[in-house]
Amino acid sequence: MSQFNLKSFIFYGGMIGSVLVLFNGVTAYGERNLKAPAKISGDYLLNSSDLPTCLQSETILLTIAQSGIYLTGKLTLSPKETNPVAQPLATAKAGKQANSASANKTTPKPIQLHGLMQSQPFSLVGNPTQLGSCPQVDSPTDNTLTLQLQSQEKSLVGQLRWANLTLNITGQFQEPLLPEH
Amino acid sequence: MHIEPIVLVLIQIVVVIGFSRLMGIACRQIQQPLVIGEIIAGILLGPSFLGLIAPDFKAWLFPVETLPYLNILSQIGLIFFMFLIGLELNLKYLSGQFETAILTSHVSIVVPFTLGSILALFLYPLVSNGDVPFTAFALFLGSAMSITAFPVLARIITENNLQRTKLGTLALTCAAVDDVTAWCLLALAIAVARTGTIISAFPTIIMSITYIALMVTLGRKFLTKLLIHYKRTGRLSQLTLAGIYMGIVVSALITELIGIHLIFGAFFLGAIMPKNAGLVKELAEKTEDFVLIFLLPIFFAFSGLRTEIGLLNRPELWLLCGAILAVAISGKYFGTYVAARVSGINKRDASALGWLMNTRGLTELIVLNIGLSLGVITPLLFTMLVIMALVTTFMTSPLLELTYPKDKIRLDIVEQETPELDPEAPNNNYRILVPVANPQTQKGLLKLATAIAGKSPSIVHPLSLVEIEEDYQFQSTPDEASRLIKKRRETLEELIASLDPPEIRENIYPLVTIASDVSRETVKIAIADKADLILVGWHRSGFVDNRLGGRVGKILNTAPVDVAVFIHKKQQQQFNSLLVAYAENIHDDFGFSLALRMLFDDPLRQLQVLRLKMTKQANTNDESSYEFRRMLELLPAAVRSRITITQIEDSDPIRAVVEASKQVDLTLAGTSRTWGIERQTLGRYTDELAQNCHSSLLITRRYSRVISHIASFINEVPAN
Repeated sequence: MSQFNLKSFIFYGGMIGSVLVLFNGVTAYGERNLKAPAKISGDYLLNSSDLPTCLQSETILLTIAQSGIYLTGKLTLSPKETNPVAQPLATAKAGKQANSASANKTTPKPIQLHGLMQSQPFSLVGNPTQLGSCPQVDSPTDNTLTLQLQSQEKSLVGQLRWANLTLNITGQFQEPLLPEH
Repeated sequence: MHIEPIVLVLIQIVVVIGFSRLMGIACRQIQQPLVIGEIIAGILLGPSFLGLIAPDFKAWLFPVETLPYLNILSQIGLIFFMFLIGLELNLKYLSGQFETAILTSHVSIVVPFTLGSILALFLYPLVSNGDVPFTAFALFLGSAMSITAFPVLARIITENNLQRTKLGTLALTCAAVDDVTAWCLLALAIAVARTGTIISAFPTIIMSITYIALMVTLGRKFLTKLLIHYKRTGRLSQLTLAGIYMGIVVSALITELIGIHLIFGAFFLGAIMPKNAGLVKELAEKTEDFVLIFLLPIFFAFSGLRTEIGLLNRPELWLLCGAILAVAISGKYFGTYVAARVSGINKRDASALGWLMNTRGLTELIVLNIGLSLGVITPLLFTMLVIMALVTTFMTSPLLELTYPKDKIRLDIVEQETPELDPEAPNNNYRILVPVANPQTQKGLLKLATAIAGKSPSIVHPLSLVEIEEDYQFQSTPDEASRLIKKRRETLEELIASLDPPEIRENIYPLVTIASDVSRETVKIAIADKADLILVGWHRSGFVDNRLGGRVGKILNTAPVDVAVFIHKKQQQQFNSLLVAYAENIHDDFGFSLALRMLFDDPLRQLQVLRLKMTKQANTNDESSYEFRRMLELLPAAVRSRITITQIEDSDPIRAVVEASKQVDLTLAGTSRTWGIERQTLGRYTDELAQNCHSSLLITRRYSRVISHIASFINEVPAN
């Protein structure tokens, strides 16, 4: 330790000082001018006042995973009478953690979605051939499912478009059943 | 079918441990650290691979309900692993080249940290969330960029036999300083992430400093008493060990409650442990097996379950990943390189140091998992940084090989151990490399080597390789490796000192070094040493019945050097009467020439040649026949007179040799079908003669047709 002399002390002092100044400058600029997208990740139970008959018996759960502006999502539809809210939630949660199509064979396969949140409203897009018990659509041009959503305090408002179907929807945030890891 | 979570967790553990080991072995085959294999195994079991190819199976194997159990197991593993890292950190590393190391390590942190903070300006609006303060994000990214994984680096250094070189000690010092600094930075980043700003993190910072001060003063005082107790008893009792383990957990708990992270408490306790060689060794060895084999792979698997390479589903995301990689690599490399050059380190060493300091490995993964758990980094950024950690660790070994080739290191080791021979001397170049597995049982082998070598300036290099099998074992730390090398050298020197007459010891220069693959390293050292002969003792392979299987078989099959395998049957230490089984092939010629060397060495030695009478092929092998005749013609009469040549029929030559071997001390035979020592299609040798020979046996396999093993003697003695 005796090798430390005044020259070294000045050098290290100067180096650490300049890093601190630079870091302070960077963080001051960042805190003042940079804005990351609001956190919207989580599970949302979707509802609509004008649901078609083929979706009326379904519980629709939207799970959004967010990394900044980059979004991925899953839309899980399951029959209301056999699946109370907790089941699709658990299923979706399992799907989210495991990134699997489904947790077991009896649960429906979620619809995979992806999107960007550069501004509000944002969109999530997928290509399902089937939506609940609605008639199947095989044409690749017609089966695009688009969710255009606006995030509000713990809820979502927007539209769901698929084939000839257009629905005004609201989404209610669901508290997670299991803590995040 | 309903499966209890505990059953599923146990199945997961079996799969994780098995698969981690498998991938670890695969990575060892391509000269990569075990940790790379374990990280890859974790990723493959997660959504990035298993989730893609078999989503239902992955969802069944790793359901969400069991993840908390895996998390707890991985955290416990992490606590004890961090304790081991702290335990390994020795202030001794700071003793040499202090000024250079401090400068290099600090610049190697400052540059990537600064670049990381600037990169945060671009990444924050894209891959972070609004509830993460920019300061915490920038601190975290800066810390992630400036990490050097001390434990992985230490193993790479040991594996490359660099621990005694200037580069090795400098890299270790830099990595130790880096490690401590990076943990401090991380603690700060966690405090800021939990509280929001640097100012509100002050209470946490003050509490942390107080805790460190208490650990360094009171904690250390208490541990010194533990050391006194250990020295008195000479062993770590289960009660003492229980106390230490409780201490680790309590220390981890305190740092978690303070608001940094539980890993720091475990690390501090390890770092302040008295660095008594015996205590550290016993404590590390008692702790490491369960932690490294059982708990750490669970951490890797848990980490892999959180890594989703599928999230990088747009080209611009791969570009961002590339930018992170470029900043991480260039920041570390150029920071280190420039600082090392300013400190007077040569270009090659500075460059090698730059690559070594880029090793991020496991330490980076620990940091990233904390960041993800705290929500400071998003899953996408986590995945990009995991890729960065993997790439920077993966590239270290090949880039180090490129800048600091192992062949060069081997040559340095050989040159260090060998005296300058007189370049004018015509016979200065006969070198025998003698791999010695167990110095206590291979006196006969060394004695034979000296008999073949003859008088100085021939050189016999007994080679003892300290085998390191696992990356993280305590024995593979540079300090412990150096201790093992010293111990092995002492045993080897004792063996050499026991050889008589004393003058034969003059030619012997032992080589002791580290190896992960003994046979491969032996071959490479033989090449570096420009050895004329590898003389290896027969080694019974644990898995192969064949006497020439295992490591000996590997050396026989792969060495581009002439090899002789010695099977010591009788306990005689003298080789007064020799028998050469000669069937006119290059391997027998080689055996014959070794026997002639031995005749030159001792004027009392006698040689009997059993020459197989060739029938049908008599004229087809003229070259070998010529070689035999020529060798005899060139011999001085004093040597020729001690050679008896007997012709034998080719009906059962092996039985003839076996019978004749009853009367001699040593039989020499080439690896040919005639003598039942034949290399089969899969590289396996049959060993009929080896099994039945009554005397000691020397099996010879010629590689080079150019090297003459008796040229130096013939030049020395005027032909009569």
